[in-house]
Amino acid sequence: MSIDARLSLNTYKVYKENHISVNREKCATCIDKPCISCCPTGTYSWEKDDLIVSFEGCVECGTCEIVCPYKKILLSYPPAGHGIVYRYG
Amino acid sequence: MRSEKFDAIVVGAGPAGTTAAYVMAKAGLSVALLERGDYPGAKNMYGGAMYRWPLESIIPDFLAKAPIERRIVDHRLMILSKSSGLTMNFKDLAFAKPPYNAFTVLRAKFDRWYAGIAEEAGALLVTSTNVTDLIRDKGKVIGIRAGSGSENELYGDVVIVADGANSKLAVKAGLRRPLNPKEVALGIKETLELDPVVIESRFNLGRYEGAAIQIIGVTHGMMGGGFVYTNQNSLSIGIVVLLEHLIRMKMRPYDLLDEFKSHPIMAPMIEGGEPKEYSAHLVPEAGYYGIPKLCMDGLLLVGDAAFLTSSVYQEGVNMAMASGIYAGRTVIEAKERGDYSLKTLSNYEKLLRSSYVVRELYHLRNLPEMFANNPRLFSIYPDMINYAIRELLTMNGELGRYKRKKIVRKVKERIGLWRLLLDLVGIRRLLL
Repeated sequence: MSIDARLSLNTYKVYKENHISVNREKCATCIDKPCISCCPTGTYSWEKDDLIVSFEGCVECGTCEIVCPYKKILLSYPPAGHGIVYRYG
Repeated sequence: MRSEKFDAIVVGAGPAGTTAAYVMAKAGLSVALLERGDYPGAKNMYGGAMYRWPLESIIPDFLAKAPIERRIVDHRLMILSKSSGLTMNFKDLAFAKPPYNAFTVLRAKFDRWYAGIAEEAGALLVTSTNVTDLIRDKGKVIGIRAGSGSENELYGDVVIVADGANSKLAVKAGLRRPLNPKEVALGIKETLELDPVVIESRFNLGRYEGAAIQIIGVTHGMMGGGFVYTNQNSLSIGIVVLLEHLIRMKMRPYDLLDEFKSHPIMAPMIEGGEPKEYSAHLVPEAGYYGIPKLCMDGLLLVGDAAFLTSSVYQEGVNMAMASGIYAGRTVIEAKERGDYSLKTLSNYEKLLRSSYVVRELYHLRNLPEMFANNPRLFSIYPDMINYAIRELLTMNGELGRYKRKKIVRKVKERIGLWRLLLDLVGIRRLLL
């Protein structure tokens, strides 16, 4: 099952602004880019020498913050009940 | 937000926070229970089961009221290899009768119900609220901030931090450093809808009976494992792996889940299940040594935020609730004394440390490190166990004596007898 199909199962109250901020100064030289491989929602990708953050499918777990070897990712939660809304959990 | 001051502000309406709020509100304290999600449970997920204790000690009739999926009567452990698996199951009919023992619950329903119980007891539940910071006065925590401006400030004599595994407030309070990949795992899960009749026949269960299944050998040697829980009309299937190992493995977690779901032993078990939700959450895995300082002037730390989990019997919700009870009682006492300083609040840490929760974690204190540093446990041993049983059960004219020799040779080759002995002694020391 593709990650997009998986995420489409979920209910999100998407907020207009990105709740994930990345200081990209180290991304280009970061070899492993664990944010990309470890994120359970495939939020991160590397395109044209830039880190793309597709925050809409994020489930706010915090993995990216912890695996970033330079601690340059900050997950601040979407405001006022926005973001993932689990119906099962 | 209102300008009145509360006896206690609880941040996070999960099992720990709601328990604390309930205990305090029931004793007549004014309590604000703040939740980030649209409703309690909207941001919460876990594997799938909780134990009766200690919830029944504060809500004796919870069984009649709580949205319980199934009563767990069957606990299974599966040790998988590439195309084979050893399953051990313990089924006890005592678990199928009151007072039961463990239950599957879905958190979006359960946490919501539970917070409602705290509301009935008098707590003020405020949802859709992101607590961003603590307010302090001369080092003492006196309230919280949920956004900028004074209208987003709320004051209380004590703040109970129950914001989960990735507790931002515990870091803000200076009680712990940001998490590192050695001390947390990532758990991911799919909820698969399935006809209850199919679930019951497939898992050999009665009407409200459920199974809890742990699976090892499916994580490529990473510390962790898979799980399956039966809900009323769905299955929860997922996998948990230590982040440190996931970083090294460079494998997408959802690819790992796909591989697990399509394992030849697992696939028939979930056949026909219709995916309904995909969820992920961090799991504290550091055990006793991961427990931070739990109290400071005007603040207590509970539940996952305090790292109170044990992976041996999948304990988390029960430990969270126990910590909520002790925190609540401590605050009640602080109010009676009119003293919310560390002097009184540190009773919480004393209560918790002399309780089952921390004593059990202390007993298992070396387990997380042993698990994290022993990839043999999660790949080679499962392989070898399957190999040995396959050899012994294969009748091809070879003498059993010869097969056993072959197995020993293989064990020597892949593990080494000394290592095997050391691992066995290590496991024995951990568990006895």
